[in-house]
Amino acid sequence: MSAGTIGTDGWEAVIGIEVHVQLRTRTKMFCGCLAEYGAAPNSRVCPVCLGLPGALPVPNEQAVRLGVRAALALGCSIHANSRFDRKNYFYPDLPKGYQITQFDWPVATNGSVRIRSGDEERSIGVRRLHLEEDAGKSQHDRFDGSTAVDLNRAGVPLAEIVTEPDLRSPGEARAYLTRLKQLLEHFAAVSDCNMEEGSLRADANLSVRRVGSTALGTKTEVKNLNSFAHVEKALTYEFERQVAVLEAGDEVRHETRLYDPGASETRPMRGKEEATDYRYFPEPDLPLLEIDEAVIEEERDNLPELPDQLEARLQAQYELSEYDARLLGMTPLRAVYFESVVERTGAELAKSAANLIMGDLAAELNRRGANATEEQLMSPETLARIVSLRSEGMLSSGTASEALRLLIGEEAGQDPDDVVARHGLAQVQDDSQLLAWISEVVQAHPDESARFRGGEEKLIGFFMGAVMRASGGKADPGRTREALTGYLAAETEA
Amino acid sequence: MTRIDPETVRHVARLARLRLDEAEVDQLGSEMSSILDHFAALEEVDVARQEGPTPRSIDPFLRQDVESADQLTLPVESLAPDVRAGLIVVPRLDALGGKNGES
Amino acid sequence: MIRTIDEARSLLAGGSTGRDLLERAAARQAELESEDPALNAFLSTIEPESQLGSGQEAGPLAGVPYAVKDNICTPDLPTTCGSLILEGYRSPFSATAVARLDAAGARLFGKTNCDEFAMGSSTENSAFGPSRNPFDRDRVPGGSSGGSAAAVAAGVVPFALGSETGGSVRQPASFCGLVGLKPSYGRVSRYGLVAFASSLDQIGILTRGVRDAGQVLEIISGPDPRDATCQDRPLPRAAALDGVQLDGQVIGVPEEYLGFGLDGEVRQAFDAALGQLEQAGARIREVSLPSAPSAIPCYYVIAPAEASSNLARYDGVRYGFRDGSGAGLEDLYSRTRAGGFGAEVKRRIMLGTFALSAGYFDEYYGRALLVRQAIANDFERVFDSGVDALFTPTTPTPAFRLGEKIANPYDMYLSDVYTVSANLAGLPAVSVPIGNIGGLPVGAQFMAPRFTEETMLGLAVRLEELVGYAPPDVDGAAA
Ligand SMILES: [Mg+2]
Ligand SMILES: [Zn+2]
Repeated sequence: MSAGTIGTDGWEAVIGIEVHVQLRTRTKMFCGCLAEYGAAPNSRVCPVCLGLPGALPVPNEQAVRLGVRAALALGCSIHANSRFDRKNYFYPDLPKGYQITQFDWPVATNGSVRIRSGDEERSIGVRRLHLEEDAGKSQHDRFDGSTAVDLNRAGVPLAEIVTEPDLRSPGEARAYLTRLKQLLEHFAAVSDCNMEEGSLRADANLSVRRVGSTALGTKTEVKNLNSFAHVEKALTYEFERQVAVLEAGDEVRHETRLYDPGASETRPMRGKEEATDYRYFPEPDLPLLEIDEAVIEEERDNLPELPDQLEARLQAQYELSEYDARLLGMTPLRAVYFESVVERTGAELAKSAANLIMGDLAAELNRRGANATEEQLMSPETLARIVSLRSEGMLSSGTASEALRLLIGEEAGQDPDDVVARHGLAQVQDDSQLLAWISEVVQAHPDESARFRGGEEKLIGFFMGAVMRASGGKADPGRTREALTGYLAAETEA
Repeated sequence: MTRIDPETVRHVARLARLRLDEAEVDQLGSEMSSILDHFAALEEVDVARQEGPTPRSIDPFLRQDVESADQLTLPVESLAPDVRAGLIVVPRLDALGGKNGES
Repeated sequence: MIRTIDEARSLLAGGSTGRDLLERAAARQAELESEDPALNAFLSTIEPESQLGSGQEAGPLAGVPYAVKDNICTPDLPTTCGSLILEGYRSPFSATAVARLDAAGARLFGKTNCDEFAMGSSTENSAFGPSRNPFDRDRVPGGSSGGSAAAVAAGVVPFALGSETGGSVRQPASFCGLVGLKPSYGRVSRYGLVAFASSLDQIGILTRGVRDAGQVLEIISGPDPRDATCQDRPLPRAAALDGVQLDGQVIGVPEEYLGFGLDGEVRQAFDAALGQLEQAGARIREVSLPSAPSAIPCYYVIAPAEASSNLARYDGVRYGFRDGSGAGLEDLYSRTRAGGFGAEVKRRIMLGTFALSAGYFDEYYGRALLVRQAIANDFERVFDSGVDALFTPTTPTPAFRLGEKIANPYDMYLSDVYTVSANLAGLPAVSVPIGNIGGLPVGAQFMAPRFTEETMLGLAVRLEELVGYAPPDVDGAAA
């Protein structure tokens, strides 16, 4: 059920997304404990993150830098002076009884993220990015009637990123999250952005209104979204639910709803009668967070060319389609790899280099899993050689793929020309061998050649297949077709 | 005369997670009211509003992203009265759902 | 009885060991506890026998015994903060100030009684009973560092650490005839000082003489990577005190501080001390701090607000007292906190939560922050006008009776009227005993610009020499 189904015609969703991203530091935000994932429960703790009496927080400089870098990647402006505040609430995974976060004066504000929506591009406003500490992990079903808490994650640095309510459909919400993950994981490289492991978490708020109206309806907050697909499904359900409520003449209630993937529906969260009063106030244990210009410039230098600019340049410089530029610009490493291949093959072969990268290489990378890179498969020089051989007609698309498969597998690291030769992949160039295969095939199939001469043109396909088999795939398809047609035509006249 | 009514006292006690019986609600109501009465002086001071976070004459201070050398080893069973499989176990809150963007 | 650091050193020079001095302290403590009513200065003490013998007595305070207020973390003894909710609690780490004293060779003798979580001015809010004034057992020793004051005044140990949020070292010093030093905010690390109000708290020092306070301050001061608010400034050197002369110093007396219910006899003692300073060459100047009347209300919004957040961690989940008799998590929280906290702590948590809560924030907490800035500006304007230090009475009256103010919370709060401003403005302040009224000590205080402890303590030494104060001689007290 994609957005904009019959049930919601004439209605528009107004969606904002709130993301928490775990910053990739060695230690926690306010203490020297390791921030690594997956250690034995409650083994990465100390008086500070346990909230013992007399313990004090000291902010992690690297976490501040990664926050600044992420904010720059989102086009935000960085504030020289920001402030930590306390968000006061009681929960077993929050040892101090408050979370140190930023409320009134975040470290960065008003950035934007460009997304593709249908066939047009839209810019989604990023209202703010702020730094805060994570809570511990609670398990509600581990022991009956109890909550079990692991405080290893308590104090891990987070960047919270809040959008303006600019998203107009569940699909756009997903596109935004996809682009955000790309930016933060690959370009700013500040986080693993892994939703399953919880290093990226998303909540959404959604309201609906008549298309064309600028008023804002009552919004609900939708939580427990554990994948991008769930985000789209949950928001689609919530969008339709709210439209149904309004069309029935009722009112949408301001509430928090949990997405239940099993029933693929959202349900109100129990026990949330009165909105919690977090009593924010300035964190008295910390000085202001002062970020000087030099740090901002250093982090700006740590950023590679960002996707919007990269994709535009790839399209212009190599005459690639927007689609190809988007795929090749997926990560900075892939773009650098592509450009170093084309540097060797020459720009005119950019498209075929692109095809091999987006085709054969990408398929192999998928098999190898998340963080494999093209460089690990083969050097740009090797791929460039294969692209050249292909363009010189020495390799067909089939034998080119075969060469790549060998160079990734058992022939890894070998010289491409040597591999092509040893495996006899090079396409035969001299015509005498070709003509021999053709005459052998035509003689062997008198009926088909008679029918072809009788006008069944499409039998050319049959003969092509036969010649390819006879040549063990080494015949060059283009030249074979040309020779075969001539041979059969000559016979007809004779 | 600032009057803190019982309903406000109960609301504040809920926020502060303090169980009060009715006598305490009344007692605190009157005590808080009389204390807050003396706070009129706060209004008489002319104060300067300012833009941006109020500076705190404290130098900025950040620590390097390195594991602190003298990490205390805190045996997990010492962390709470009820520790099972290394986890701190507490009675369950009725409402499910965490606070930090996950539940 | 060990009155001063030098007295301890002479005993050590005479062949006593660090353990001997601890034995001495234990003997004096036992003597005081056997009296009726007992002084009740200590909540826990070390076993002298279990301590190191002579050990190479190294370090500037080698072998000198000392006491620490029980809201400061020490692994060797419990840290209860005078509260049921932390009864028997053992901190796994040591406060930075304590670690620095140990490194200097000093020997921890015991943890002193205090108002629960340092909230109070008489130790009557301690869950373990009040301490008493060594000079009159029916009167309070002051608070919240009352136990530390009583311990030093009674000669158990030559110095003790206390803590200040609104006057909790200077006020007991004034009531017990001692020197009470509150350093500038950010001078001494708060790591290991159990938080009451983080933007106001400072560890303070109680001694018989100013020079002793200067020596201890030099050792415990200095930046600490575990406290982001602790400042990197040149250390206040004890040796520099003697270089400070009175002549040419401009001493301001804020007129507002001569009101606020100042006892006539205290005023006379104060005027006498002021006269001595003037005769010794200091220039006295009357100044004004217009925001003074708002100091108490400002303090009793900001401190409870921070306290309500700082005490949220006491929930029965991990350590300390726990009342699991209810069902579910909310009951665990609300019953534990109701049963574990005393009346005054609950009152301040309620006041602070209210001041931060939606609908009241701007009128109370938000407003108090702006008033605090105005108070700090008043001091700055006075100091910028050429005043080197302010001199005022420390407390409006000598020690009041046990039970006298406990029924009326605001009346108790008013006993901090002269002291809270220095905490709000982050200034260093030191109370020096200036006389006895009806057999009860009273003190006066200097307040100085931030991080000018050397000059301030220098003025205090000169005053000490001029006044030549001797505590009232009461049997059992350290005459
Ligand atoms: Mg958050
Ligand atoms: Zn930690």
